[in-house]
Amino acid sequence: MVFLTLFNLARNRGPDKYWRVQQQLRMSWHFRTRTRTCYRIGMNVVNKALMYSYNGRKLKKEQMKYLWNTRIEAGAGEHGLTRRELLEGLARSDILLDKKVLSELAVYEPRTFQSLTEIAKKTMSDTRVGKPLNVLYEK
Amino acid sequence: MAQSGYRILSCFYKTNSRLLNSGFTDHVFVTQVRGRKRWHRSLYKAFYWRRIEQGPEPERPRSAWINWNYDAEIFALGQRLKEDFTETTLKRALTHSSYIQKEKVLRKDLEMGDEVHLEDNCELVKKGEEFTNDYVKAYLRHSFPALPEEGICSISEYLQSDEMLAEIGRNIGIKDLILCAEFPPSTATLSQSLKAMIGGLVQDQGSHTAEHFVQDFIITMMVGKDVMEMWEIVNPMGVLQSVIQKQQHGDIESRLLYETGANTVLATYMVGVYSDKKLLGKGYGETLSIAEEMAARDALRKFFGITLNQEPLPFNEDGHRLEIDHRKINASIKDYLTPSQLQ
Amino acid sequence: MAHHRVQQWATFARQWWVYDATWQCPFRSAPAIIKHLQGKHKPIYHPTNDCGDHVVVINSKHIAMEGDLWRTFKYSHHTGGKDSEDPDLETFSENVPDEILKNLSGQIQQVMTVPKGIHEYTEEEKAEFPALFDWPQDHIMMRSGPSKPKQ
Repeated sequence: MVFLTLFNLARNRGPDKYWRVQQQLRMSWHFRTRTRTCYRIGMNVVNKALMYSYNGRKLKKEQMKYLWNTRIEAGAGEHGLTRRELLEGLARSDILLDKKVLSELAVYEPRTFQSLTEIAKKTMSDTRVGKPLNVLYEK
Repeated sequence: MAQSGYRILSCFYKTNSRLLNSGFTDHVFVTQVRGRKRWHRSLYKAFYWRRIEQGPEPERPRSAWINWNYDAEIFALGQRLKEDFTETTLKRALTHSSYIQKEKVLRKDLEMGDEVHLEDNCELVKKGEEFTNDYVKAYLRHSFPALPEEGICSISEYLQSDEMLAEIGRNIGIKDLILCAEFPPSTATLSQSLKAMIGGLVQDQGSHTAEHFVQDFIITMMVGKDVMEMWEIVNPMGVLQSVIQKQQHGDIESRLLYETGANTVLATYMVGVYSDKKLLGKGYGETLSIAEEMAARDALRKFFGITLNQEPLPFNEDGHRLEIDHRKINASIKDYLTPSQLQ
Repeated sequence: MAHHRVQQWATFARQWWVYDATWQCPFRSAPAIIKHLQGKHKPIYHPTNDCGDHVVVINSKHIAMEGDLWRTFKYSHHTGGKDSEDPDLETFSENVPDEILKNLSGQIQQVMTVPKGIHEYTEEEKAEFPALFDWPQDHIMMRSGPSKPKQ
């Protein structure tokens, strides 16, 4: 800002810090001790928390994939298949269900999941072992 | 944080596109606003505490606002539902006698005479109620031919309860359109208004259209629900025995199919009910008696045609094509019971 | 609602499994047992979900270990104390109590096929087995079957 008189420059106190403090307190209300009430003390903790949440957003995706795999493995195991056999069989039968949906079916729709395993078993026994997978977008 | 940055103070640019197109763009003024002023804090705090002191806004009907257009809303309701109501019928269906009474008193106080040119919906309510009850039961009897009459009545009671009808009415948006003395309208008023609308539809469009309306809005509330939750069977094992005797099968035999953790507090049993060496149903539970009772319920589901994995009810085109016999009545559960069980 | 209640009960029921450790490699058996203890054999598995089962391992003294591991195997267990030692392999030889056996509801498949020892065949079966050559009359056969423990 340009101040034409020295008097105005001395008077200017800048923006009110209250709003900046309030914004941080909104992010630290669930912390322990003075980190939740004091601005300066909570500063590093809030920054660290934001870092964790940023990393966590990526980690969550990996962990969900791991969980889906475990659940599909368990669901397929109940019907005498491995996860790889099930996914291979479904891909060969042109059933394009992703892992998320398959794991949800295994938990909440066990009968539907069972019929999917039956299809996969049949396709795996019908098709030769060396036959390549069906290509989705063929030219 | 603070809302610093540029704000367009002149509204020319945003609101009047005609001016913009005719070469008036020179008149757009952009000024910079830096941060919040120091006096903002005390001002907003004062607003905050004033709001808390005042308490929450009282709930007001939509018609309390100045831009309320009753006729347009009534027309829009008919269009939303895709039904050709005549305007007078729909207005009458949504007018309660309590509103007319209130208006009369009001006019008397203002010395305007006590003539109110409105008709209440009493007749339509009665008509709609009879029609709905008749059609819902006929539809259920058609869809569940093996279910005893007690079950049909329980489901129909559940579908036509005040709470259910009020919920349906709220969802199709008649809450703000009802003319009645109280606000907000009670569940009874809401359910009566919906019944009156059905009565009006019978009057205007004939029973065929009204049947579709009832099917689309009331019977669809059965979707995803279990009939056993609406109809409680007392003594399922006794009922199963009578049903089996009626069908001339052998005696019922319960067998333990699976158990785990028998010596722990988390014991689980799975019991199957057999007759003539054929598995009728199986159930599970924390004790043998509970598991046996659940097995009997499972077997009854099969006999009464209310299994959890059966075909969905016919709606839309399939539902509108149904040919329903309104005179048919299902067998009562008393027909299955032996004289000793009835006492 | 009763149906949903018992469905919930049956879904989260703790099952009791039995595992016969006869002639089984403990290192290969462990993943199969861990899977059941963690509940990873159920589609409802979740790391925060308490859905693990119980496993009763029987005949643990008959496990099969490679080479000299019977004597040399030690659990890695550091207490940090001055005199701390890694404990030796120890198996339980007591019988499983009846009250635990009553809880059992299923069996975990063994990870290795149990071989049949020569001493388990009958004399007739041995005689029927085709022989490539006859042993000379003065040949002394090596001992077959379990040795007697030293007194």
